Amino acid sequence: MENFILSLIFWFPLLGGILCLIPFGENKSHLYKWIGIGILSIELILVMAMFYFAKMNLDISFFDAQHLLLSEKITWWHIKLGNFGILHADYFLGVDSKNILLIMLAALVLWIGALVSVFSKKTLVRSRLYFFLYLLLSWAVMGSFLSLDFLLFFICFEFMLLPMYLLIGIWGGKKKEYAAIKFFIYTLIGSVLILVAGIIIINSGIDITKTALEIGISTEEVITQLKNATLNTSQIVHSFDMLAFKDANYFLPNSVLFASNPNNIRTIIFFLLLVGFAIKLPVAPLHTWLPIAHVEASTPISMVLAGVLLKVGGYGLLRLPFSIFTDTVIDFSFWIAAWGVFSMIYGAFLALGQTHLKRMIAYSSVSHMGFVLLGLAAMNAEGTNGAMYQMLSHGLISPLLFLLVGVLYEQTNNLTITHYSGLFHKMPYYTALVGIAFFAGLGLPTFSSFIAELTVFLGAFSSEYIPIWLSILAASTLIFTASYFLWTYKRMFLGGFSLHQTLKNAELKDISTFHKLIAFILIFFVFLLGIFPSLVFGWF
Amino acid sequence: MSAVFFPHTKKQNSKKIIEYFALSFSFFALLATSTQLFEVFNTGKNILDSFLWANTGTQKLYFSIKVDSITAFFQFSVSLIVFAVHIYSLVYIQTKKVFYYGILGLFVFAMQSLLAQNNLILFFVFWELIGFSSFLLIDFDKTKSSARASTKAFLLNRLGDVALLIAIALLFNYSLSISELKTVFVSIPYSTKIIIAIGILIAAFVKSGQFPLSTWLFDAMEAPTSISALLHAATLVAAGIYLLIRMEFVFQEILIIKNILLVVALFSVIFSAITAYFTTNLKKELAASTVSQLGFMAIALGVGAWQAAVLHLFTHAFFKATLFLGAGFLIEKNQTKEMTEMGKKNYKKIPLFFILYGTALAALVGFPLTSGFLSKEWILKETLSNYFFIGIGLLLATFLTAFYGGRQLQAIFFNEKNNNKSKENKISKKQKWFWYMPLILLFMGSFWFAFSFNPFKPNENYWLIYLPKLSSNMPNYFQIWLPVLVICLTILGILLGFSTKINKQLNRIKILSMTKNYFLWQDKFFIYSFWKPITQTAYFAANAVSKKEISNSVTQKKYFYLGFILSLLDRKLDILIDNFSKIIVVLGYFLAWIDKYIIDFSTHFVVFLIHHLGKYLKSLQNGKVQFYLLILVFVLTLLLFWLI
Repeated sequence: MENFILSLIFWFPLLGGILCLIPFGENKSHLYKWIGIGILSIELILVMAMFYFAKMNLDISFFDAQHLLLSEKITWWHIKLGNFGILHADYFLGVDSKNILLIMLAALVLWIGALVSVFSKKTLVRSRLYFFLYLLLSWAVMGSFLSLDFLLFFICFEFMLLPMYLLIGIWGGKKKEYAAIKFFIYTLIGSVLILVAGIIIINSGIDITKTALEIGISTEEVITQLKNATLNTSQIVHSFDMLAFKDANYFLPNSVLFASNPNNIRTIIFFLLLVGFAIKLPVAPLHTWLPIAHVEASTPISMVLAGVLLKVGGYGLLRLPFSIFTDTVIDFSFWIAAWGVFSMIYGAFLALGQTHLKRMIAYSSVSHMGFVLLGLAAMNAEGTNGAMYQMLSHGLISPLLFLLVGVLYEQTNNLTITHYSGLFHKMPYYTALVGIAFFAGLGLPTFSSFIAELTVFLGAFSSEYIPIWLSILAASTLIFTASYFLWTYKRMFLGGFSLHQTLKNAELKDISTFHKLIAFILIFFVFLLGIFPSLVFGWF
Repeated sequence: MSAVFFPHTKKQNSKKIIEYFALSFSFFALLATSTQLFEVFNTGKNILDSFLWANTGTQKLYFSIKVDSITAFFQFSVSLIVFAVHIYSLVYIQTKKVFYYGILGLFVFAMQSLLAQNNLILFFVFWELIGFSSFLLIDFDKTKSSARASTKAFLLNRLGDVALLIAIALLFNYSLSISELKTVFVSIPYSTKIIIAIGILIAAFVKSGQFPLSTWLFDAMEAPTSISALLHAATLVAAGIYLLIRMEFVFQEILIIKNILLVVALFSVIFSAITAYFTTNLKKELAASTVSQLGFMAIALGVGAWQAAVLHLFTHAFFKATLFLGAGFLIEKNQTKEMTEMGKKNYKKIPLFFILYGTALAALVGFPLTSGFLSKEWILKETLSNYFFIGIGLLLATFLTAFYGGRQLQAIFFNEKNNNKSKENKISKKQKWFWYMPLILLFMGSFWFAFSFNPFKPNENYWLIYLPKLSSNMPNYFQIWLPVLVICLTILGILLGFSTKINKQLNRIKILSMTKNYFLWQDKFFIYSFWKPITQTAYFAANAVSKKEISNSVTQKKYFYLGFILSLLDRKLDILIDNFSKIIVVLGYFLAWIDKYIIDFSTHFVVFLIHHLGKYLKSLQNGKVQFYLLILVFVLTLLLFWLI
């Protein structure tokens, strides 16, 4: 099973999507819900199995040739293009320290999202289409985390847009069409930038191992031939392998991206990739699609959007620009860090001013994702690990926040912060859970976010590229974060009970057992990562 | 045995069980800490323990426990006070018991772990946890004012936490072990050292409520009194001083920060003492006096006599806990927090209570033969010999302490008028001993023999024997005259404070009575210079508010424009993008129009032309031979002309 588990994980949701296409008839629409939940539950089990295999390999330090814990590779394209060389693409899935935990996170959040879609009080309309799209989305998400081939990665990355667009646009709130199209266009622009950069990278690079295999000589000989410019251009293999991009001799000496070439193309390509993924992350001022998308999307879709889709952006940054163009990152480290810090402060500041609860949480996402950029810009072990930790931690906390917000929204259809006061007296359990989520959000120790933020700061303060004042500025965000979470908590949940007059008829009930259970699952993982950080750091 | 852990008291249906469950746990903790105390003081060795907690990348973080003599005695005194508070809570807390004991357990666990922790990062973890659990405990009543107080406490503490985090992150590259730091600190570059020192100073001053960050401590009196006794005597605020004690070498190296520390602490000491005199709310007076006493400790640290600070921290913990628990008794008995309404001639009515409370009060003002005299006199001695002017300020503060102490004594026990409105006595005789027992337990700590054999020589202290000896450079004649001076000042202060006439006169002087709003000023300072501008600007940045809707005040307009600028990247950018997309859509329509009416038209025109031309030409094909001949001739002539 170890040999094909990755493919199983990859294709399983698509299989479910196809199952959803079978017409069972009008009165059996609940079957689709069970297909959705069943498929994603099995997916979660499969991911756990993969986790187990990977952990076993890690314990005995068993890595394959490309330093992967698990991998699958089948040749997909092998096209000879005359003087250009050979275009090579693989069906290449692999797992290493950078993506394994994110795959785990994605499987968990997608499973929880499916549960919430089915068991919420609001009945799910058009469940067949919904689960078809939802499973398609799961497939694309899993694919973009699993695939190490740029072509496959890009296809999955792009494909995520379509189901998400429809999921927001059909099951959303009042301005759902606007939100969906905005999300779609913003992300599409990002994808175009990534595609352009990818084409140029592949065009000007050479996969040395595959070239050696093609010609039948050793890799060292290929390198010497490259240096002497005696290599026949028609024999050069241009491959889509993302791991090969990191190779020191990857870029051809006569190409625009060659490290010692005195031009700015390298920088431009780096920034194309950076901006492309930064839109997805998102980093201010490229974030304006996020608040509206969150406000309009339904609860499970918000959870998946914040918990998983934003992480694809961070993962992409880690996998592509920050591991290929390390020299460019060092040159621009200060500016990237400053951008991250700006995003942190700006997001926190705007979250402080919000009057809509869901918008506030959306801006807190922007603020928290700034940590990822700051950590990556620090260019040291702590910074990168911290960025990774922040993605995992935010991937657990933001679904929790959106889940809890959804509980209130289901009851009153109103999320204006100032319309509520003293909800504790009516909904004590709900208040307690929101309290946990808010304190997790503001980075209290024993919650995963604390370890994440701490590690990012340790990285930033010990980085030789980031000045101390910038790191101090970044740390001051924590005060803002505490302010908006706590102020909101105080205004809505503490104090004497009162409601706005538009809500006079609302009957407030405490959180249901189902939602409590889901919240407990997420809180359990938040605590787990907060108290035992070695569970994550052990992978790096 | 390494450290004492208080398990979370588990949620159970039977509420009565919870109380005794928690009580027995605190008793076991007391036993454990006293065993630890004996072990440390018998062997003279530190208890060490550590295991790997995390590997962040380049460095390994160890969960390391180190119990030296300071920690051992501190942990013991904390668990003694906690035990007393638990007995007290049996009668004091009647609602929300599960919540109360659960959070109390968390709080005590965090405090005990903080004291034993040697790794700075884990120190920070527990540092924040005590802030968090005090947030929950302050908001025990769940009223509007308690919500405000707890939020303010947490946010201001967060400020200090961030400062501490910055200091820790800067120390990360050097060493994170508190015990090793002293040797490593010398090698750190000066600019980094300054930032570290500022960070630690801010963190400690926020936690210990020094100027200008003491406002939260005053408001935190919303908490139940049993909690106040714990928070403001031995634990939460003491944590700040504890941090300073562990980091004292930082201030000995950086003189600028040390001088700032001294001046700010002296300011806090004097002003909060004056505030204490004018405050009539019993709990708030005690809070103000706490700020003042913590300032004494900070000054002791600043002048290099950190052993004196340790001693004062211990003595203060006992007498202040007694005072707070006693205040809770008085408040519960009389159903009022105003000192002047506590009833007539209480010294006759409740003589035992008078003795208990009076002893603790005597210790607070530094009356001879009490523990307070021991530690306070030591601080004064060291300060006077090192920093003369600060020492003079402290003498004034000693007088002021006695002054408000005397007034409190008069107002509570020797009041001639009966101002109490509520007649019923809430304290039943049956429960009386539950109220007195914790007081009896703690008031022993107010006497000199709890700390030293000789009531006049703090140096001969049995709890500090393992600490490095402090060499005093004090002239000999002062050794005798200073205690006499202090005693005189104290007695004078008590006598003057006892007089109601002086109190009335002083209350009439506006400038003096305005200082009772000392804490309020700080509050206003924070609200009007930070909170309001930031939240208002953020509000205007985040929401579309038209200019007409805001009031005409200049400040609001300022925030409005600032908010407008900040919204440029968000809402305004959004509008720009929306308009851009509209332009593109309009352009699309325009192109569609061109497509339809110009490109399409031209093709249609050609078709039309050919169609009609064909129609016309068709008429030429009329089948008449003469007509064809005519055309032939015509064309030939044309050809001829062309050829020629």
